[in-house]
Amino acid sequence: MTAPRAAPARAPLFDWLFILSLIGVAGVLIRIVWFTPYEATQGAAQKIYYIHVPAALSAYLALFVVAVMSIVYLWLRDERSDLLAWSAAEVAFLFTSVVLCTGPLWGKPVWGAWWTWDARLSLTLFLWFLTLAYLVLRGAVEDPAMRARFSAVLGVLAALLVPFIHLSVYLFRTLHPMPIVLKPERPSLPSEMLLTWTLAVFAFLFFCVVLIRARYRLELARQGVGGVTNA
Amino acid sequence: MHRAPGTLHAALIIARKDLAIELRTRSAFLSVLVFTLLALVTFFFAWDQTAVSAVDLAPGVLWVTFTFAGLLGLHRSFGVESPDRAIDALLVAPIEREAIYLGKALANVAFVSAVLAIAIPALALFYNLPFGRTILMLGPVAVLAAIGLVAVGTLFSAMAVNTRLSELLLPMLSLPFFVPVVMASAQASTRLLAGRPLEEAMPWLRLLAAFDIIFVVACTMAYPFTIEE
Amino acid sequence: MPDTFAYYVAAYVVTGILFAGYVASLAWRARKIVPRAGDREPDLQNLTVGP
Repeated sequence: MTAPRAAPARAPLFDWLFILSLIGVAGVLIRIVWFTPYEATQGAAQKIYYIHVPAALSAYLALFVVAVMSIVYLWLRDERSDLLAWSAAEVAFLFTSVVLCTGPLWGKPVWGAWWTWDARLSLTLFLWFLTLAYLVLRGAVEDPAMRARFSAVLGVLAALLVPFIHLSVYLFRTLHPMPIVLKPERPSLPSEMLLTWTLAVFAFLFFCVVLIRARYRLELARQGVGGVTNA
Repeated sequence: MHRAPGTLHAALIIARKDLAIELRTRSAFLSVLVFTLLALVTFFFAWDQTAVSAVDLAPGVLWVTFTFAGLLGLHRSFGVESPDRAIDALLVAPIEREAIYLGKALANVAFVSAVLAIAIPALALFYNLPFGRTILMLGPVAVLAAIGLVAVGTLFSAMAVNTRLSELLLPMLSLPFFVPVVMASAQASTRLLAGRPLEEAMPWLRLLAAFDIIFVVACTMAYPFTIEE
Repeated sequence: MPDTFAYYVAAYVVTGILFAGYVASLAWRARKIVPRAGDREPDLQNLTVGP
């Protein structure tokens, strides 16, 4: 019985939804650059904030998907949840990198230091290392079933670790007085800026979801072809 | 009819086996010990004595060293099972899978504790700390830290040994998990050694204890997923 | 203001590069699949049933 299977119809990666999300991100960036006023004390650098925080929220969303899909995989052993977790991990790595690049670029002009071990940036640094470990682990295991199991175990344990990192950083900062210059962690924004910020959050979250979806479809296509080859 | 050993009993048997193997050659123990002592010495020479006092520096040095020494020792934990797929014998035995993990973790705790039993007095010696006080204060912290380190490290060692790049992967996986352990141990130790009241060190000790409990349970439950056939 | 402008530009450029780079990597990996999928098109004239 060796009739070749038809190639599975591939869901397109860059479909209308993807284009829409790109327009959303581009639109928000245009709004930030040209249609939002500068903030009085921080000047131009404050506009970095409109990327930095939405990117962080997107990263957290992606990592949440990794954690949930890891649990789902260990419970149901459905290969698709493993592939979705992997896709979300790659996208999470992208967004945490954005956060880690924009953070210092904002911190230097505003706080005078490239790195201040503030709570969010410290946590994001750990998440970056954990996500990298996840991706390297996947690259190091050849057997797909073992790879899925190992990744899922790491995903679940990393999710358990996050509260501890949080607590450690919090304890460190509160019990260790750190030099705090002006600390605009959550600036109260006037309504125009607040609208821009909200739009940026939605645009980034939407883009994050669409990227995960695209990556997932890519992986399904790869696996589909691989399955036929092995038939 | 010979009854199969219960989980804890099986774990103890496995721990004894691992320790017996180690005692015969002592090679891993000696290399980890030498590494630890050399690291303590090296840090000492890297340090400006007028800027930071010994009591402030020593705990940090100890726990960082302990992390890397621990990694060296952990790598061997499942490594001994690799030649000839020795682990298959354990998998076929009529014991709970968790017992394999617990047994190896127990052996690792013994191993790490043995290293620390020498390293802590050495620290007191090299850094001019009061012996009695140092051992009394650092001992309990060391036990908590060792449990946390070993719980996570043993599990990742089980995983890493099945991969390429196992020497890279074990540190990459483990170190993010070690950070809360090292941070809490160092912070608690510094305060205790400096004679500060216990309440100041308590938040960190509680964090360590919570970490130990949660990760021992989680890693024990996760281990069977790493060895399914 | 001119002081901080450089940082602002740098942040946007870096972000843009990271996003564009990732999307490009997706497109690149997708291209590598397409030819292989083509190979697997069934030959409807010569379907064989096994022995």
